[in-house]
Amino acid sequence: MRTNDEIQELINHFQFIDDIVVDEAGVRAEYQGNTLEQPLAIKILSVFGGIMASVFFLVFLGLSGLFQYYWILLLLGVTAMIAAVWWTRKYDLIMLDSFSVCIFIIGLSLMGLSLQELLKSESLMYLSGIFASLATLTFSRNYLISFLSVLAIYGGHVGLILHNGFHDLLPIQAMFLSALTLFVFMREPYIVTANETISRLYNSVRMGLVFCLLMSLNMVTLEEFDFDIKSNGWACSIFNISAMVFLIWRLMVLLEVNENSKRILLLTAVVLILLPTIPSPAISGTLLLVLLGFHYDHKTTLVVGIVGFIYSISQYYYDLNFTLLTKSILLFTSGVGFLALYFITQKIYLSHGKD
Amino acid sequence: MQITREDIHVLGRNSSMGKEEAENALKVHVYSDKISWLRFIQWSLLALGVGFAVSGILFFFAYNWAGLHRFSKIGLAGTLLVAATAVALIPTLSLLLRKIALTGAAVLVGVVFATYGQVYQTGADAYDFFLAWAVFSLIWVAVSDFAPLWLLYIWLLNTTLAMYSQQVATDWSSLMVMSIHLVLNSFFLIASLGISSYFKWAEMPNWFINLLGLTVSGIATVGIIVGIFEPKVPTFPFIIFTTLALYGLGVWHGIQKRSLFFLAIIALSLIIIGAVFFLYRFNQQGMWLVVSLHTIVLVTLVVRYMLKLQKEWYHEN
Repeated sequence: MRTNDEIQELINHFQFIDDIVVDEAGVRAEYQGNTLEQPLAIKILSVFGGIMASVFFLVFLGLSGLFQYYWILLLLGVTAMIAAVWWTRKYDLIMLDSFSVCIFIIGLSLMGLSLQELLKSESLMYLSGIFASLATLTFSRNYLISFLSVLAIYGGHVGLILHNGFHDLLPIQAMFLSALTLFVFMREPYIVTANETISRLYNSVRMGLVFCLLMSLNMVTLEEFDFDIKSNGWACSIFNISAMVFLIWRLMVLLEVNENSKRILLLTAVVLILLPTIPSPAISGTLLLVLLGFHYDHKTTLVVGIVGFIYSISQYYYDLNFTLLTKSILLFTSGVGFLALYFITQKIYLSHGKD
Repeated sequence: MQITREDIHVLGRNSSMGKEEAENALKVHVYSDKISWLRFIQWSLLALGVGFAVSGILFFFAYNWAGLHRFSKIGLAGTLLVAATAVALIPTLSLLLRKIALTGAAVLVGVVFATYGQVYQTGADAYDFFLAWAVFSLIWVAVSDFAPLWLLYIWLLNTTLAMYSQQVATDWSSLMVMSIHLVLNSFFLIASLGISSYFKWAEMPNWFINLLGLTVSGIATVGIIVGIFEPKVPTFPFIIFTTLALYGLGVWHGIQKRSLFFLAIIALSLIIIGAVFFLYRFNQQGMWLVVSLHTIVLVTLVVRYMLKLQKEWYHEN
């Protein structure tokens, strides 16, 4: 939210610094439209309210016996999803978000329930859900609807994979999500200046991808450790570690690590430290989120990454098939190693500071 | 004026700004710079080092625990407690490190009591253990002025109460227990708000106050929902009046301190309570539709009011 004076100051700043032509009316219209800078409290209230209302409505439909009229449910579902998109495009107001979320969830649920019975194929139901959510994402301009669409697309994919028993595809899905998340974070300037529609979708899609990646990583790790389903999760870990190496390589320019020998030494150290975590893709994946969240200043990603990292590393050590003594040696040695690195970097930092 | 990511996105959509200009603007105003990264790397290495090393030590003692002599067990726990307290008293260390050490010492008080109870098989009820832990760490908690330690202490008191109601006061109704929890947590919430308002040097961080607010709201919501199903319990009116008073105070505080968080959780709590009440009282199919509509309408109205407040506060600034 900005006052008129602040908007003018902003416009003047960029016109002066970068010599760009600004559509002042368009800028003012966006700031006055109240669709920017939603406080987290309002977002959470809207989502919870929407979910609660949709659950109550679905229970009502179930109790009134309407669930046996599948064609009516399908029609209602499709109408609700179209209405959610149309409503948010026509009345782009934050206060109507919970209503939009409600009818979107109702629409998606009714579509899913009816298609499952009409098509007699769970796979076709998931595919339909994916296409419907993709269509919603294409046409919606609302943050919450777009965010939920991304989650729905991911959910549809997971449903397809698990229903058909293609567990080997889960690590591939996780790798794809890692790559896509990295791309979306790194290409922010390109995306937000590409065109208006994609720019408006950026924040919600990025947030959706972060949560999808976290769920995907946990699913792959869970399958490896808890369900003992061997699904090549190690490939996902190697991919995540490679992604981190790529990101760190680029960060070295910022950190002014210019000698190639130092760069290679640092990257080798990172790879060696992460090698033992290959059985748990969640560790390298959440570390990637931490790096992305910190560098690109996205606090939610950073917090999600840190919490995910603590959880995944705890789970990893808990599930390791070693004695407590071996685990204690591993942990203590790692701790000493990190503390040694801390004191070395402290010394380098202080000596450069004096220079 | 601090330029944010949102400003750059708006300009990206409404100007001739190209990707290079957007990238420069994001690098200058949004993305982390070299100094932030160096600080982050240092703190991460320290946190990872301490976390892994301490976990390694804990695992080592877990491995050897059964074989240790009883004096070694108690002595070890006691030594760690003394060491943590000694670290907290070193004046040359930073205040934050000393407070973290004191928090560690408060946790180790519980470890000492647990070890003693395990070695001598005192057969004490769990609530005795938590009560003793709370009593013996009270002074440190009071002088520490450290929110995480206060949080630990509030958790201790709640756990003591829960254990007491399960092991000793088994005739207490669930509503009675919830009422006491509500009073206990409300006391800390009101005390924190009061201290923050009148003693600026002891101001509690927002996350602590918000977490307490969420806890109080959660207990009040669950308490009233339980009461809806057991309305004849004598403590039900007490919970209702206490909740109303607290929520009134919460709304006042939210508006005074410009905190949308309090308004949001109070609104959500009241909407949930209303929904459960109507569904229970009027047990009909159509009531689910009414409650669905009631939820949407109320959330929309509350969000509208919150947006209006946000706009007013921004312009007053």
